[in-house]
Amino acid sequence: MSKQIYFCILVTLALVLVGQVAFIPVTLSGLWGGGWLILVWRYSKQKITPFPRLLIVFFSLLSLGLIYSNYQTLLGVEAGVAFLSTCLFAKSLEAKNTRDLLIVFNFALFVSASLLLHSQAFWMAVIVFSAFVMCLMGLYRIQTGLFNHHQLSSNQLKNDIKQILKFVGIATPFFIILFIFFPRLPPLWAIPVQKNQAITGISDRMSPGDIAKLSQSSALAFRVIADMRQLPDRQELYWRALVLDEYDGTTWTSSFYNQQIKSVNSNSQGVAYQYLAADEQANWIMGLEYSVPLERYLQLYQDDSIRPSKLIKRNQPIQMFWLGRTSTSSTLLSSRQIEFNTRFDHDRDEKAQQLAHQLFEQTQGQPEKYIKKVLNWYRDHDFVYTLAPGTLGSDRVDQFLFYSRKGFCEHYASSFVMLMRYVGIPARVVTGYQGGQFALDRESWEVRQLDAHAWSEVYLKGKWQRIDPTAIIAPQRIDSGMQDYLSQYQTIWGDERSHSWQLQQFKFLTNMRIWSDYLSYQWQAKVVGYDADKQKNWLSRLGLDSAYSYAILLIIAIGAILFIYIGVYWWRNLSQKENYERAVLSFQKQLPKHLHKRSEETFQVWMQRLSSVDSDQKSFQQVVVLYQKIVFLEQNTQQNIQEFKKLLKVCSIAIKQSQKTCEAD
Amino acid sequence: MQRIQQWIAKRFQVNGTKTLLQKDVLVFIYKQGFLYLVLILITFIAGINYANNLILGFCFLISAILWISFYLTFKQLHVLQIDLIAAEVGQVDQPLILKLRLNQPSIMTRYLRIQWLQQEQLIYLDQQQQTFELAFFPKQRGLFEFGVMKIYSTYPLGLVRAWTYLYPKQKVWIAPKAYDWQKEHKNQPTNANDSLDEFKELRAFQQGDSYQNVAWKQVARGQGFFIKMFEAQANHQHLEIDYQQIPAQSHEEKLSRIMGLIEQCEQLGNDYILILPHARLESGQGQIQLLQAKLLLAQA
Repeated sequence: MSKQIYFCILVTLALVLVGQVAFIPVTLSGLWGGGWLILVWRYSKQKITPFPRLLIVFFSLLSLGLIYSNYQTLLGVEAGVAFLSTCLFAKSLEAKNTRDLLIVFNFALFVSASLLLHSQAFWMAVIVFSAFVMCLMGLYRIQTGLFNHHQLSSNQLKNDIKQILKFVGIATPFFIILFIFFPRLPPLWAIPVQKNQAITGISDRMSPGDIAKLSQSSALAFRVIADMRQLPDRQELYWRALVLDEYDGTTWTSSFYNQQIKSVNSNSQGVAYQYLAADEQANWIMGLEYSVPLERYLQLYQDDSIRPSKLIKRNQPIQMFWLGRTSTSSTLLSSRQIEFNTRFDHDRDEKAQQLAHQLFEQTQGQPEKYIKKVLNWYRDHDFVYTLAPGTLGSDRVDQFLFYSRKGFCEHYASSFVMLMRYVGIPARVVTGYQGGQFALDRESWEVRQLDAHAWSEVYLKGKWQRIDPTAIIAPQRIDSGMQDYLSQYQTIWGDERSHSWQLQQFKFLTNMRIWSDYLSYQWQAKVVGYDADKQKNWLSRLGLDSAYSYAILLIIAIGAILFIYIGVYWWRNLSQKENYERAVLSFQKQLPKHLHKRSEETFQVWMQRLSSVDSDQKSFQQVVVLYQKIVFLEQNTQQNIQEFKKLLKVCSIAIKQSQKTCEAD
Repeated sequence: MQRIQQWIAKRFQVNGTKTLLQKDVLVFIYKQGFLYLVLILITFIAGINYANNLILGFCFLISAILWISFYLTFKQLHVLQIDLIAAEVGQVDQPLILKLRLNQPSIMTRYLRIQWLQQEQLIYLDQQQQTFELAFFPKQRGLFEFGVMKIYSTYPLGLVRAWTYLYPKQKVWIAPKAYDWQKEHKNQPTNANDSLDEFKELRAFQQGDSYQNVAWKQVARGQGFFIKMFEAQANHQHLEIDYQQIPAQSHEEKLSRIMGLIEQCEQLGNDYILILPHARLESGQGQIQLLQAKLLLAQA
């Protein structure tokens, strides 16, 4: 094994490691990273002999132990990929002869392909492609290393990479054709996903500050692909996650009432749209209020939340159906439900309870008027909408309403719901996202984590009706969207001046995010998400509608590429030849086979042989003289070439004529 | 199997020179290429099953690489012109050199390997024309056939092998092994008829003298560059080597002894006449004489 090949192994291992760091336990990546560093150190010391066997066994067992203790299995996607990588590391440690190296590189190709099971993001594709190039380079060096081991220059890396990229370049058209036209087959079995990954976004509980924290992230939450003109305006875009109706004084949670499945009445009126979650494993589908899912594995629940019935990794958009603005059907609450939605702790927040009763009396116990009164009360008392509301002690509602008066949407929604409940109006908190904005190409609608929102619902006239107190406090938040609001209203970041850099950082990060989300969406939509349907769609536009026609087109396209390659090769060969050589070749083409130039003949001898056929030998002699002038005296001028061609023509006519007379005889 | 081999032998016969055309080059997946095929299959299944477009794309990419490997490997042998140049006469137990002159119309780097008998040689061709030598060791007097040679290449990735066979049409006459007369002399010092080795004098070195007769002892002492002269040489004796007179039983042994005598004469610079039952070589010495003598012995 030579040093150059060992270099390829090292780089491949590093790429496999980097591709996995985000997905494997820290201990495992630490172990592998350490092992890799030892390899590099040995490499720099010119020591590329295999490791002692005992050490390799120890390393493998330790890795497998770590994998098992983390995943409780060695199978499954994540553990499986880690297991394969362990095998690759172990094999690289013990590699000593060419056979081992061949296995290492082929196996490394497999492992790097399996990295794509973790993520299909663009950066992962780049890592996998680099690993692919490195493996090919390893295989290439195994083949060529025997021939030129004297070349040990640093230029070699550049040359080898150039060679490999050249091969890949030649292969690319075939790859593209295959990718586009190869019929997509349905999966053989569905793949379950492990559920121990941390998920960012809306959770099933809400404490004060949760949503404010979420709102500082400009990460993409989900994307909606629809004709946005058919959907309501931004201020009406409430993307619903779930209902929270149990309050313990600090945290809102969801009660069991919401966990029941709601049957969907098929309604032909509405708008179809597609929903693409940024996190493939999100727990909720944030449908536009009110939507029904069109996928079988998604369930609609009593609180109009949408959840998958089983965990499936989806990188495909979900088909959804928006039922329209006025679709809130009247629901009859049971007395238990009413009791549940008006429940509060009488010993807590007594001042707020007093306020509620006071306002309720002023409006003669009319719920609609009372709601208006409460909202006006908020507006008249200088509440501040901020991401840094500070901490609240016990009696949070009291503290918020009468002392701090600084809060984010969850504070307003939460206190508003409590004010309703104190006077016996059923009310609850809804979390989700509000607003969003167009993607760069205006083809899709992006909703980010900073659009996270909480609002309230009040049970009035047999219907749950949405009331958003934030719209009163910070109407710009709802009208122009959170993203604008964050960059325009600096007060939201808090009072201190040190927050101005936070704003700058936010603006910069958001811009970066918008671009990278846009690119990864294009990647996702055009490459990763190129499935059977898309293929069908795309190819039907070309007028193809059966697998046979795909196959035929595939073959034709490959044939065409081959044809182009051969053409280019032929043309390059030809253009390498001097123009007089070309003239001679075309002259020879016209002659019968036995008169072709023999390999042992010089041009002069050949011409002499030809001239014996013909009685007029003058033109043959002239051709020879001119040929020698052009070739040996380097008088390769345009004029000479023209003359040369003319003379050859004369010769060929003479030969033809003599042939004819021969035949006639 | 036999018939296939016969067919191949006929199909790939080479008469001196050959340019490898499309029909002469065989291409197929090589050993490790099968491992690669398994890789393609696994990634295909994984791509389909996990509905993972990128893994499927990876599968297509490595398939495309395999695909173009066929072409690139094929190109290693294609339009290569091979000239085989053999020595006129060989000798038993002496290396018989077959020169392989490789010619390519346009310069490209070729990584070839050539297999003959049980040997393999790497050929790194990066010029328009290069010559390589293959050594054969003939074991029998008579007509020697080179047998099959296989030129192959697994460049660039070792996934695919392109190869061709060469069955040289030309055959070479192999002269008998020279009998070592001196060995017998040492064993039987009393044997008569050994005036050949009788030392006569030293004389100064002249242009054209054989290095075998240099008096190294004197050279080492710094006395000068001398040539040992022997009785026979001094007399410019004509040796008449007659098949009938050779003291040996079998035909092969006799030929071997004749060969030995001839070599000795050549070393000492003596003229010799060769008389065989069916042929006769007139008096002479030197390369041409030796060649003719060898040829006669080989054919005898």
